[in-house]
Amino acid sequence: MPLIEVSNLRKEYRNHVAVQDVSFSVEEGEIFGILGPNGAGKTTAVECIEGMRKRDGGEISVMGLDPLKDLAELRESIGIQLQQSELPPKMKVWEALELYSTFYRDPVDWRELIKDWGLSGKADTPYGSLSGGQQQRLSIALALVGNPRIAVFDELTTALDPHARRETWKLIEKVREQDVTVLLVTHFMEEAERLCDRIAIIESGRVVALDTPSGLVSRVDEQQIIRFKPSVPMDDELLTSLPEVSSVTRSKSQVTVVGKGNVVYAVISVLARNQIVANELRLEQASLDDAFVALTGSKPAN
Amino acid sequence: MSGRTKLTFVESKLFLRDPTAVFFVIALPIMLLAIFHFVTTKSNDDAATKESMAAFVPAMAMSLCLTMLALNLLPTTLATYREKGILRRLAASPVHPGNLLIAQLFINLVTAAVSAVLVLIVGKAAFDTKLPGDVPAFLISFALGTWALFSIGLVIAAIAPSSKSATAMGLSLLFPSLFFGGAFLPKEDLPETVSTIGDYTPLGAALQALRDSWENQWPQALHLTVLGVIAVAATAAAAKLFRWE
Repeated sequence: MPLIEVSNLRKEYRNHVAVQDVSFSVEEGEIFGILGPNGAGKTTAVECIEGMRKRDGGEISVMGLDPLKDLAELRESIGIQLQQSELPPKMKVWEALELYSTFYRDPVDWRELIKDWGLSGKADTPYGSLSGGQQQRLSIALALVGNPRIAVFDELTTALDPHARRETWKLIEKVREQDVTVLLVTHFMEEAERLCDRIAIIESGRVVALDTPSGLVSRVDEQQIIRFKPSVPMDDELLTSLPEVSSVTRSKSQVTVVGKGNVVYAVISVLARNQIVANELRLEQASLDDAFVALTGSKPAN
Repeated sequence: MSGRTKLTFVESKLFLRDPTAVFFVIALPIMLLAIFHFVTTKSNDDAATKESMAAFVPAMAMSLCLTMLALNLLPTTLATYREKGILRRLAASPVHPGNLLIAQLFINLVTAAVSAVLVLIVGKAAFDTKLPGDVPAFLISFALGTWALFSIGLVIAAIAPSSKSATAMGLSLLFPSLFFGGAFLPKEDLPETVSTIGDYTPLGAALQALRDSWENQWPQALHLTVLGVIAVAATAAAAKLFRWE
């Protein structure tokens, strides 16, 4: 049975419909990504699941609980990291974790969390004096202090520099290793591709695609481009005869092959059979970026 | 310790880490007592005026601290907590953010009480001020005045879109309050129109009620009514208007 089930979720604000019709389910142990352009309704959808907002239509079940009816129970077993939420600037790291641990029925040891999340040297530092990366680690640790089964991270890495972002990705993988199911809202392709088992792409309040990262990429019927310099002179005919290849062009010594499907394998095999080595081989494939653009019709935010 | 108790405890620690809080509780009232003591002893006023100042100064110092806490410190803190998403963060945990409001209210009320006690004791011991003549009248005036002023602070916290605007709203109520309420100059030295307007302001009504209790008189029904009406109306408005985000 899925841990989170959302069907036909709908949420309206005064002037517009933020979430039209969103359905998906998340299995236990997954990192499930919610991807979409700004204003697509990602955060609103997730906040309805968390019970931070009241939905206007559809059904939501989180561990068998309805966020509208069983909010108190849901709060105990869902860890939430919110977009744009801070702590009082003078609150120290250990104080925040100790305080939040008293809010839960069955908390984990906050001292362990300080160690686990690399905050030992900063335990006595007030929130206001932490770096962006440290504040982020504290907010993840706070989301986990109640020993949740589900953690929701909303735009966790948006404000971080590329280095801190990569560090955070390792942390999210660490959360999953602790048997916590992760719901990740992001607009970074690289982040979704690297971390998520499955991704729902949301556009204008609807799910336009739901698949694994590689599944999404393969949906895009994008051509693949292979460039190389053959070790010995070769006849273009060798390649143009392949059904996967749509064109072969040359500039000086470089050969450019455009094709679809299994074109890479087909080209490499033919070259190998003819004892031609492909020097300086380059391969350009469709990425999740391309898939995103094709599915939503808009450029990703970065 | 339960979550709510712990929250109040941690919030108290944060409050004490802020030097302005300590200033409002300890330094400001004592400074006022000292300045007025200095001015009064140096002046050539007759004994009756000095006598009346000895009752005016502690009531004024007390209501000034109360007003600063209620119109400045409390609304700014609460608006900051909302603006920075601190209330929202709490709403994502099993503890309702209302508990943070209650904790802050509690801390500010304790602070008000501590500063009041300080004014009474230090004033009496070091600066020749009088103690309230009618203790029940004093307690009722202080309680009702605190409630009225704090509930106005809560209305500011409820409607201010940011911490900066909460500070601005608080201060723009504070200075006219001090003027009309008879904190800069005693009510009897104010022009009649100003003093009449002052009767209908929370600070003015609270200060006059407190001064009456010092003079061993029961406060005027007008002042107690003004405070009661403001307290009830503003509390209801704050409860209705307050937004968590």
